[in-house]
Amino acid sequence: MKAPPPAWVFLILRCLVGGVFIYAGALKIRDPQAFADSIATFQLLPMAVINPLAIVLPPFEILVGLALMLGWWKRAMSLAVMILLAVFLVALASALARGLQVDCGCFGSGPPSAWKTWYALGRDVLLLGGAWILHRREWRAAGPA
Amino acid sequence: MTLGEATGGPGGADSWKILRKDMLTIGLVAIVSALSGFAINQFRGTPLPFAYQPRAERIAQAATRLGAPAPTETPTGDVEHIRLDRMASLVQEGGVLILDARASVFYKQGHIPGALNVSREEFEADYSRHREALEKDKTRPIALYCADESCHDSELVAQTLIRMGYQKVLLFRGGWYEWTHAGMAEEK
Repeated sequence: MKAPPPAWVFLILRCLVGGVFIYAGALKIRDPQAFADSIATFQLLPMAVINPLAIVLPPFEILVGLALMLGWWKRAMSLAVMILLAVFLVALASALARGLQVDCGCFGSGPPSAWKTWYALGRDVLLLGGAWILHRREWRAAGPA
Repeated sequence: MTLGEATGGPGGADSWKILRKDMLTIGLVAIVSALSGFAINQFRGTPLPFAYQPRAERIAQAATRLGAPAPTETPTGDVEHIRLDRMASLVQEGGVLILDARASVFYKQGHIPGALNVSREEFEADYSRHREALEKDKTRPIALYCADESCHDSELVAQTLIRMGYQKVLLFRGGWYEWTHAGMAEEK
């Protein structure tokens, strides 16, 4: 049977995924109005939800990223990352399918472009893969089936 | 097949228990995030309001605070779209006010020579800062640009200036992207 990867591999993965989320959250917290405008361009949510989401999501990303990096509630936090990324991916895919010019708002704002949207999609798929690997390890460690 | 058997995880009812526990943990983090998010927002210089206002509404309200006539009044000015060659000759000749509608962070990185920063984002503050130069003669044409063709900020600023009584706004849709890609002069 193939030996599992050493623990430091998962530590690096946690730091990578967690670090990306901390960075993304920190950029959004700096300019909540720009982030709210980004959310609005996706035309998915009712207006009443946009600003509250712009206020709450960045600290959530930071806290989840920090907890993941520090190894707190690894199973739950990697699940939280997976859920967030799944939602982001659906939103991005929906925007591409509808031909919308969106700025994902992921890492601060800037002029939108289709290339940027595809890049965000690809990046989120990679992060989702990383989070899935982390969650799978913790889930299996919780006990045998 | 149980959830645990399907996913290689904990057996029987344990897998749902663990999943429930994890969702509770996520919920707790979400509550802490919400509380801290709203607290941070309250201490900002300009807190984000709970109700979202689209960009067009925000700049319209800024214009009202600056004393613009009501939006229902029919403006007398007009917006004309111009291309790079006309923009270049306007910059060379001088005689028109050139406005950069991008956010100040981009303006500071480089702008068309002689352009003043009157951004869509901080319209009220930027307009107030340049009020004297702008309102000296509202019949004088104003040349306006933002980032590129996909940027709507210049369109919003143009319409707002027309509403505020400016007679002629020349909108360079190609924007900073076309200007720099043509190798034109820049100013910082």
